[in-house]
Amino acid sequence: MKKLLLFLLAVILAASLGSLMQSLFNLMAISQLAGPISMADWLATILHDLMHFMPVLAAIFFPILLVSLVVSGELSRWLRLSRLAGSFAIAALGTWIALMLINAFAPMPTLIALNRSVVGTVLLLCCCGIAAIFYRFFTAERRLS
Amino acid sequence: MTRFIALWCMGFSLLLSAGATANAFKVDALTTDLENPWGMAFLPDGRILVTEKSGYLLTLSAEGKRQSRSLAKLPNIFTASQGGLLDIALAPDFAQSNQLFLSYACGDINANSTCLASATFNNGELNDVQSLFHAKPDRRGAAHYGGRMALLPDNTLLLTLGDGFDYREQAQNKANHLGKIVRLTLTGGVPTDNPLVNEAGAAAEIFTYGHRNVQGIVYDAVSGNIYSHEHGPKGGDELNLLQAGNNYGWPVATFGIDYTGARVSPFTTFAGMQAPLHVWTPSIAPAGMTLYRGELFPEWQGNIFVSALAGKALHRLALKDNQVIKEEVLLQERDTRIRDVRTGPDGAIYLLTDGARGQLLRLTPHS
Repeated sequence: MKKLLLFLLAVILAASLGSLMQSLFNLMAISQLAGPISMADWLATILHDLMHFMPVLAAIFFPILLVSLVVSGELSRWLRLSRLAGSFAIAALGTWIALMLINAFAPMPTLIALNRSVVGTVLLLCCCGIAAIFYRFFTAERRLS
Repeated sequence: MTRFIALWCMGFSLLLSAGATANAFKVDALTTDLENPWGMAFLPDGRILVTEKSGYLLTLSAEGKRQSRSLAKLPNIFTASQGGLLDIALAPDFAQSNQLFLSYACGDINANSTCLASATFNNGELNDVQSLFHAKPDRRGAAHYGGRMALLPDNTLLLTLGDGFDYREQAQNKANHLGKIVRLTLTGGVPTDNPLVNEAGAAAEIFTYGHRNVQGIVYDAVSGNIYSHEHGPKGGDELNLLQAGNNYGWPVATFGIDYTGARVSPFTTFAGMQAPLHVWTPSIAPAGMTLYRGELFPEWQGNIFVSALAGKALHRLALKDNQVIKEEVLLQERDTRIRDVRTGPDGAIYLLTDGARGQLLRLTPHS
């Protein structure tokens, strides 16, 4: 039960971080075109994205994190991998593969706007990686390597 | 009691007016085997040319009977997803020159764009194909090509373009053609009176900018107005009144949001950017447009008709002083994506339905 709760928290963490990155990146792009954006507009956009975009991102990240945590758990059992670093790397790799698959099958070239640039894509991968570390850290039996 | 009678009368008159419109026309399916039709043009002798996205050009009789179907051998044509052969328009002197214009996606999946070519049309075949314009820069993916055309009385041509989906911020960059409407001479040159022709660093072909994906444009010879519509993202489809040099806002000012739910911009309007005449939220996906000046439907004079893909309907807009004062949604019962709408030389309204078994429909008065 604790593991399930922590997993769900990890998904929400990844999606919230991703949503925040999306808001910041997008507003920076708009401000380059339109000039300074008021603090109220920044906050309203972040809140809007957390309410409307974060759940979509959570639905995308849920299976990615699930599979990548299982895979990294098995790998660390058989290989001498750092559980935290391994979980981060596998989650990031899983996210990258998933984004490529989504974009290959979605009607538009790139579904998630943040995924349009290399930096934005790396940030999305890091969001899932950080969530994987979060899950591993709080489910570890204090034998972290 | 008086109020009740007044309300009843109002409701009854609304029902009558709605019924009158619904019964005002009949729909004939002239052709039912078109493969992803995209655009059409009417020859002086009444025949109809239809483009198919896969690259074919069809010649149909005025009654829709197929006379020819030939592959348009356009330079570097790229057919994938939203790309392919797009619109068709006849040159003003077509009766003498047989010249026509074709817009299409060109390039490959990694580097493609919207292109314009001219050709002469003889016996169902295209000859003397010449490249006139290639929107720059090329981009990746296969989305948002625009591709509609409107001929102006000064022998120039407006070609609508798209932002390439992944490059939306470029719609505000006047140095390139992404998210623009360009104005060209009929040989593909730059008219010397284009609005940005003297602006350093700006692409001289630009007529208007700040567009997302414009798939409807019409010039009204009576009013001199040019209208366009464009796809918004999730919501925020727009009808615009075009004026040379103006900025139409995308992606800074929009009523739409990303398909994922994320905000595109905190602004729906912005200083220095033209607000739309009309907005559709949720999106109808407007894909074609005509401004009715025919004789068969006198009650629809000056109305704008917009064909909708996602909306699966034909939208009739009545305007007064460039304000939309009434919108009526027609043909919903057909539950069909409608790609294009044109006014025929006979005053009938012609529609192309979308899909692998597209139809050519004709609307005429019931009587």
